[in-house]
Amino acid sequence: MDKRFEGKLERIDACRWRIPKSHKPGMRVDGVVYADDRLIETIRNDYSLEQVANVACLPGIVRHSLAMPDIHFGYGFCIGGVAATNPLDGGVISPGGVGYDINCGVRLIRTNLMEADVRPRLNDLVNQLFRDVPTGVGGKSPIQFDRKELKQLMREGSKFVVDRGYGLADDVENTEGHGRLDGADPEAVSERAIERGMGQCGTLGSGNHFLEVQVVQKVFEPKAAEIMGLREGGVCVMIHSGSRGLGYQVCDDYVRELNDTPRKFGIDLPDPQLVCAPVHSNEGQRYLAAMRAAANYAWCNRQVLTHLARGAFEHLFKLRPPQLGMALIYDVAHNIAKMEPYDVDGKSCSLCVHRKGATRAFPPGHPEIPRRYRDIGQPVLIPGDMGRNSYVLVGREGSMRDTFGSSCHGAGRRMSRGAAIRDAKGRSIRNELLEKGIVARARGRTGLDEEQPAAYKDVNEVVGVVDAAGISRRVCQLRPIGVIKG
Amino acid sequence: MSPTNPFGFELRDHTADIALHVRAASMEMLFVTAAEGLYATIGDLKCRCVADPAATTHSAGRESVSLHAADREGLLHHFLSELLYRFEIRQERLSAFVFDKFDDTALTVSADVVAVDMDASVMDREVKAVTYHDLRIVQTASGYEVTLILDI
Repeated sequence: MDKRFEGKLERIDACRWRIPKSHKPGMRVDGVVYADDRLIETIRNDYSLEQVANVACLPGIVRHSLAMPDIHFGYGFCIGGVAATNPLDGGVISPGGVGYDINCGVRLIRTNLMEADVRPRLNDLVNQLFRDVPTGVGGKSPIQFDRKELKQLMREGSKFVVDRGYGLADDVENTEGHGRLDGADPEAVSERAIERGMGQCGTLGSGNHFLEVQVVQKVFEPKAAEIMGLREGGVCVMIHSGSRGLGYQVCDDYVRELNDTPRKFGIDLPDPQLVCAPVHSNEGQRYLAAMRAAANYAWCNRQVLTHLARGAFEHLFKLRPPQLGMALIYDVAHNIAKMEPYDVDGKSCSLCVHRKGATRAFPPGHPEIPRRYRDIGQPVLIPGDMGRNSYVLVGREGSMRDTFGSSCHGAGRRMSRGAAIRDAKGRSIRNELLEKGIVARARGRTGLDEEQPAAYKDVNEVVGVVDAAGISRRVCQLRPIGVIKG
Repeated sequence: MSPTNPFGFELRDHTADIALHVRAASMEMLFVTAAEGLYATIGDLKCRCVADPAATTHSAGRESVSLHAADREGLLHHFLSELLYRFEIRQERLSAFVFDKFDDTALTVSADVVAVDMDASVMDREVKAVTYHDLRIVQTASGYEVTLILDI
């Protein structure tokens, strides 16, 4: 929504801006936006800063309503928003703080291949991936789960599909939260959501979802890169997808179900799309249980997609898995709500942390990080647009101090889909990418145009801000060479 | 929509998703036109021909749908969500709507149900959900209008 923010924005430092709580009635805390001088000018031009201020009105919100530098307009919460609420203080959970695509997230798989190994067969590889990985409208997974299995995978997360042969043992260890949120209840998921989910576990989807073949372009932290198995010129696969129709339906169901809940609890909302319930209420617990089930489904989805991608590489290169070395580096969620302990006024409190278009970024030493990464920090995967770069970061101490263990999630859109299509008129985005050495295939008619690089902010700038702010630091810069989209 | 025809639908700019703006002379037509707009947002949907190519209709039959909601905006949301669900799960498109009941909180509508030929259709984008964002049906001098945000 184009609506320039005319409220007060106070500079905190080179990377942060404050929306004081005096900006509007009802704000319980300040808003804090991570951005440099260039980015803040773009950010001012849509309604997202007002959304940061609105989130600051939520009951039980702790410290600040936060926004990462890839912030843009969303429903209720902006995309790039982080908010932690304290259930003991009447803190709420809001489906808008998670988003329709529950546990949309990213994973990165390394390989033993170098760019020189892949280049001669890049067209074939992209075509193979396009054949083997279902994308776009109506895409159906080649791996089907019945209703009983679907409910089980919603309870158990990605270990369920790994145990059935669709992954490697380390895949679970290298997934955020071991690919599972405790407290998932498939019975809180509607029949319609289950119907939408059946047949879609192992499908990429459409819109900004993608599978990319990438090359490590630059290594900033050699020791961390080595631990992850990344080296300059090495080929990786990045997968961006979420909970598909099941998750979208869970969000829709609970936005409807919670419609009257704020009134029931005497919660005054500046925006009805911040519909919410106290975390400890029956309504809040039901949404949490359903959201967790959908999140677990999403991890299974990305795990099956990984299995399909590995199969495509094995088929094309005629190499066995140990020769390909396609190990999962890490998998992160960037649309989720989790109960996490944080220090609030000297006391450890279990807070409900909403990350909507924001990524967990735990620092070195955090017990939740896999042992192999504990000295360097949790890998943070930041997809950019399909023409420029993506990044591997690691979490830093600043994230625990300032952002409830959170960092950015991507580049953030700067151009509407309509504007991107108009901008692409008369051009071939596919050929433009080809000229950059990038082979792209998309199933939808408008997919490449809507998702063209110019539609996004420059991820290099976004990552620069979080690095300078001390919440995560760069390990590797990646560039795409092959893209498949829905 | 055009200067000579103020009614219909158009896709408008929105940062990350699609805004479907609909104008119609009556509430029923607002719903019908919104349905057309939803299908157009997904793509150019072709129907699967029935066995008899000379048949004048490709209808798989006619079905009735009943919905209720707290208000008209909720009804519109649920109506379009139902169409989205049927397309996604059953690859069906509904058309030739006839409203048997239509008030502020409930509707019953019958429609032709046609199978979509997914191979022959040209898909533009997957619609994740019809959102409630700023959903408000406004009465105008010539009828009604609404802008729906579709999550892509």
